[in-house]
Amino acid sequence: MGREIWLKQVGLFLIYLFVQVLFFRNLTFFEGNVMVFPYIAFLILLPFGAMNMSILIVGFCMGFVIDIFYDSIGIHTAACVFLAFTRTQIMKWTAPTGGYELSEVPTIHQMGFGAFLVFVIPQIILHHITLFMIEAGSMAFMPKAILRGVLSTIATLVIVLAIQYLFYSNVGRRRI
Amino acid sequence: MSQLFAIIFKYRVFLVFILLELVAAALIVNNNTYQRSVILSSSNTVVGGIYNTTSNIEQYFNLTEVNEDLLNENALLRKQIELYQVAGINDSVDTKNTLSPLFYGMSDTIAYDFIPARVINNSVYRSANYITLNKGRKDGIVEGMGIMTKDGVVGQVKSVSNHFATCYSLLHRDMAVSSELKKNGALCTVTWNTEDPTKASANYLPLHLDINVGDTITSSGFNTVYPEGVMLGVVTEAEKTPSERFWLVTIDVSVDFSKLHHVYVSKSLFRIEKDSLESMDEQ
Repeated sequence: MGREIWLKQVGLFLIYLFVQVLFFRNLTFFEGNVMVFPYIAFLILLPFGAMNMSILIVGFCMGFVIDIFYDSIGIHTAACVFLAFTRTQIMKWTAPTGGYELSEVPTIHQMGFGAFLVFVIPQIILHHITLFMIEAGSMAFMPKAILRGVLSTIATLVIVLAIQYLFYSNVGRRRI
Repeated sequence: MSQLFAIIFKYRVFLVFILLELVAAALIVNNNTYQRSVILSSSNTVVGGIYNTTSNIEQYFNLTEVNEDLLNENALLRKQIELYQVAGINDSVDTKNTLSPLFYGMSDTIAYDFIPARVINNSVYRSANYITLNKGRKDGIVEGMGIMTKDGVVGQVKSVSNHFATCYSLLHRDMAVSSELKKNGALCTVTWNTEDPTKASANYLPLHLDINVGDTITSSGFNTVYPEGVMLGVVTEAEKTPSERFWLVTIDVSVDFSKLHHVYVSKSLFRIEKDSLESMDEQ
């Protein structure tokens, strides 16, 4: 892993973070039942070869900073750490024969539409349901929390796909 | 021993995962005891500064609305000054029922001071909603002060930095406002049911009282957070259930939380005196 790729990841971390807190934070639909958290795309789309330990720590940091902005200390942290941990498992299950190219970064053009969805959807849905369930706080609101999680997953997915089509060119190289 | 280390090494990712989740759980559980640790909330300098900048840009888009609001409030206050002057001349006028909540404290002596502030961050759709204000300790705000607009109660200050304040919104599952039924002064507690940002519930109203749709609930002024008589909402549903000892009352919150721009922080001038006297009683 070269130094350049890490600098790029730090840059992406800041971009995802600020776009989330300055723009997507204000975006809610259906009386707040649907919210979007495209910042988790940063964690999902870390290079395939990133070490499990570093993903956990990066996930913790990302969740923690988001929590400070959302005044929800601990909630996003817990959901992000959970996402970071399950990502490794999901990568194992969804890997094509021969495994992922470890030096690659997941993009829609490099993976193909179907494989990208299979890789991304379980991670978004796990994160969102965890998030809304922790936030709801009591068992009475669980069904509603799960519903909100599922609906928000769709909204987040649309934005993640839009980001892919807008900012990643079809030769599989980043433009940003 | 070396085997133990080997096992720890083998499961190190899982162990770190558990550790980080425990840290997160500790943060969630202890959230309220971190009241004074401003660094973990949106009133820290960096986050507050960012929200202040974005709100500086956003405020131009709702200037018309804010101007109209201020104009209305000016007109109201003007009318009340007239009433107050009349009340001063003619002692027999019942000042308490004609004056605005903002002046209630004044009927005997000035008990509250109001600090105007701008809302730079606000949420309504979570089960724990917070508001960030662009005023802080340097402007005289301390933890525990009340927040209100001309429409009614908005929330309470949670933590303060030099230039910003993070506050509990009324739409927070832990908020409870000491309040009363305006028509007969029966005490109740207003809480939020974490579902709908326009509804709240008034608890502990005993069944022998007569409660109708359209009754007004206002703050009681007992806890020196808000002056007496600040609007909370109007009763929209009142239900008697045989199994409960109290009315199940739903109120329409008088403040529109989705359009919160400018607020007043109410500062009780006698708070320390009253609280220390009351805590002396308990000993």
